[in-house]
Amino acid sequence: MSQFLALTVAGIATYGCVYALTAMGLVVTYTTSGIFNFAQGAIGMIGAFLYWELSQVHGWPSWAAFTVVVLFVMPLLGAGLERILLRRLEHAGLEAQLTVTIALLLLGIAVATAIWNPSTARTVPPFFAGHQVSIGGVVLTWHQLIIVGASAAAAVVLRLFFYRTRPGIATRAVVDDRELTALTGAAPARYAELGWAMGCSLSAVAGILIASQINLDINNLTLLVVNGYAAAMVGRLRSLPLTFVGAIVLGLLQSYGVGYLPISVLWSDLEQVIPMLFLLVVILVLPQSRASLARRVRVRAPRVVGRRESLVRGTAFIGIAVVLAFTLNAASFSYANRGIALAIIMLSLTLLTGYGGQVSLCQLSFAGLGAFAMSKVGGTGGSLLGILAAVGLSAAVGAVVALPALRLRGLYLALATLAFAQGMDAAFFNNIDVFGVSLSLSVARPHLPLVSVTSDRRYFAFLCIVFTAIAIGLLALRRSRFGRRMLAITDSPSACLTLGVDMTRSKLAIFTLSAAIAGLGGALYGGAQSAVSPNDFPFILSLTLLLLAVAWGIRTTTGMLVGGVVFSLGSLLDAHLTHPRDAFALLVGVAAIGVSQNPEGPFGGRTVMRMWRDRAGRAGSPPSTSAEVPPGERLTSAAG
Amino acid sequence: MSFGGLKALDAVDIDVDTGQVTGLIGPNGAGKTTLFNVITGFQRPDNGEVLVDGRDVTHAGPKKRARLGLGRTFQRLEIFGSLTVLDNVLVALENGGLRGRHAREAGIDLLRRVGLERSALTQADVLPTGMARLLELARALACRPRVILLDEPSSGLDGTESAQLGRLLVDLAGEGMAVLLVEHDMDLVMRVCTRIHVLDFGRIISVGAPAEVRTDPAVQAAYLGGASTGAER
Repeated sequence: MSQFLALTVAGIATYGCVYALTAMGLVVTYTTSGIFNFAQGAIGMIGAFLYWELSQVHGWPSWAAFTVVVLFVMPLLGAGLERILLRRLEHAGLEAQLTVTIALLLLGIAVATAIWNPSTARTVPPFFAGHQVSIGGVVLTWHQLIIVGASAAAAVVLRLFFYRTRPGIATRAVVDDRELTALTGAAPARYAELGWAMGCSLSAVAGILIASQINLDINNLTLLVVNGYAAAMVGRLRSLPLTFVGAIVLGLLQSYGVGYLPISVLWSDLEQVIPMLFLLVVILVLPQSRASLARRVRVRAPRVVGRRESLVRGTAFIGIAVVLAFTLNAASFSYANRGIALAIIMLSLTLLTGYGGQVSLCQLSFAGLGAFAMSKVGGTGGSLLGILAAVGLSAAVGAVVALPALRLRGLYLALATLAFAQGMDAAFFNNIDVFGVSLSLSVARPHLPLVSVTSDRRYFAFLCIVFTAIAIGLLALRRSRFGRRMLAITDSPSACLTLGVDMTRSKLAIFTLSAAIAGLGGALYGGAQSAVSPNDFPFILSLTLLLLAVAWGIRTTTGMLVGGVVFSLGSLLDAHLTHPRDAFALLVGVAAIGVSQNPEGPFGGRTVMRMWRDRAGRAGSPPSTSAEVPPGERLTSAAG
Repeated sequence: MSFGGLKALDAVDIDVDTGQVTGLIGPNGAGKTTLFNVITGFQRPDNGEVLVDGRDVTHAGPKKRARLGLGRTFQRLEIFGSLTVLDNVLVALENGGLRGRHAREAGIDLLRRVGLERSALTQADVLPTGMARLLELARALACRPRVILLDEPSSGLDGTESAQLGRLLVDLAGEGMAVLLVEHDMDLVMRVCTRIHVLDFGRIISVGAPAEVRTDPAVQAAYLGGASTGAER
């Protein structure tokens, strides 16, 4: 009984209330700006580090450091982010919105890594260390009381704000219909700014309060606050009371789970797995909002390359690749091969997100499954059966993930795939039964019947050929009957319904095929570095891949090649540059934020090659005119 | 059909007969689009039923209804913007089982019918509004519907194009299709419709031939504001 009480107290006071704080912050930013802030956790982490810097390094009293961070720095940061970056995204597509906040997440981690060396251990002492009270035999520290008090106070203040004050009521109106509220003379943008200021502040409170309960670690803090997502989903990103309840329930589940469930091999990291399972269940069980006529954005699609042109280009690329295979110096292949393998994995994003309009944040999990299958089935000889197994396993898991996810749209699908990716991280990749005690699996390069591709140079040429084959295949698919239907479903689900088009089957096929491509890419990626470890497939890297893909034109296959090459150059940069740490992540973050300046990608959804050709051809012809439809009509499509 | 406490549609009874163009007019907010959504399955009515050929489809989804022969266009454009004009129609034709050359020929025929054959290879999202509406019409026709619901198909068209559209609608009805037309262009409505239903605040306030509706005092009071004809916008 006493254990039960202790677990209950820990569940509520240590976890539940912290999740509540961050989840309420998430709800506030989402309701005011319509943008889901993936960086909420990273912002809380930055807040906690700032607090540590002021209180522990500069010796400020803790109340002063807390006040400065929570009431001044973080609100300014939030308002600034909203004003500079996010305001432009109001009408942008979901990929662009997701990309920018995901970029903020990565950038937050990169900035923190650059400033605060992750290998140094830091601790934040709890408030009023040593003071505690005993209520009915259960001991509560003053710090825990402060956590409970802070979350309750935040809940009450937000409730009063939203229901009793004029800006609060206007904010709620903004949620229901931004454009309508703007017509009444209110200024949605101002409320969005206020919302972001409050959201960042709340997440900093959460970060600071939890920091003393766990180590002050960049990744831990960022991910811990990710659990707030799950709670916010209980409230459908709208309702504060439901969000609060969701947070407490999640905190309790986690606490009881860790306390009572046997430590099994599969669930060795329960603390991480439970919130992800919770998020999955919540997303899948809660009813979806009316989805058939939703807000939707049209972005100009790049011209589809014809069959002849794609063959010519593919052949030219293979020619260049063969020349490079003979001329590059031996040391560069470890980077180049990984880059091309990643480009193959990224092609799965062109299919799924670029053509199919579904945002997945778990492509690297499929890649990891592919590498796992190649290692187990392909053996040391690199049997082609391994490649088959890689494709088959990832396709099968992809189909299983897609089945429940098919009814999800947009953000919810992205979050469900994120939950899956994080669950895979914790339960599969970091599992010693899967990756062995050394957490490393050797992966052989495939053994082809006629020609050996196992040397670095030949493997490079082989990877380039595989990339080209898949790219040409995807372009052919795009031009086919299936491709037309796929784009039709992305452009207008409502119209597809009135034409009697079966969308479920097409979506399932796209998701499965995309997972298969990622799995193949993963198997080849493993071969490129001859071994894989859990560190090769962290879900954060899935986010980086999405950023690179969007930045270089997610609807083009050449964009993926550029993305892969950029990635390998980035790793090269990191290997040779000790300061700042993680320079590549910084660059990716900054570059992806550039997307907010032009939501179609810095190159407007076109590849570098095409830009160059357009420029060459522009001398005589005027730029194509856009449609003669007023912007408002094109951007929204709601039921009348 | 009601939203919150507001009754958007109240005891509306409407028959759309094959072989004729039936008009549905009414001031903005009268419930025309809501009625379309109820008929095509995008919104569930609180009570009442939707029958196609006497078959109750009230509980069927939009996709099922489409397969039973209900076609529609949207007031807010719902074209496939990243596809070409021809591909837009092909999606529908191929879903109906046509393949390859047959599908392309049928697609060009449909585009010719609405006057878009010269834009066949244009990307759909650069079409001006009027042409995009015609494209939606062609795409809906590709499913060979028995009943077709058109939500303001003529907005964005000039006088000549609008007259052509009118002739097309009469032709379609002549081929045995049931056409339900929501339209603000009164000239067009009066010219092509056999019967007209007038909707105001979710209720049918008048039904009849164009001449009867035009002179109905209730309609004039509610909608035309005394003027006999003329575009309302």
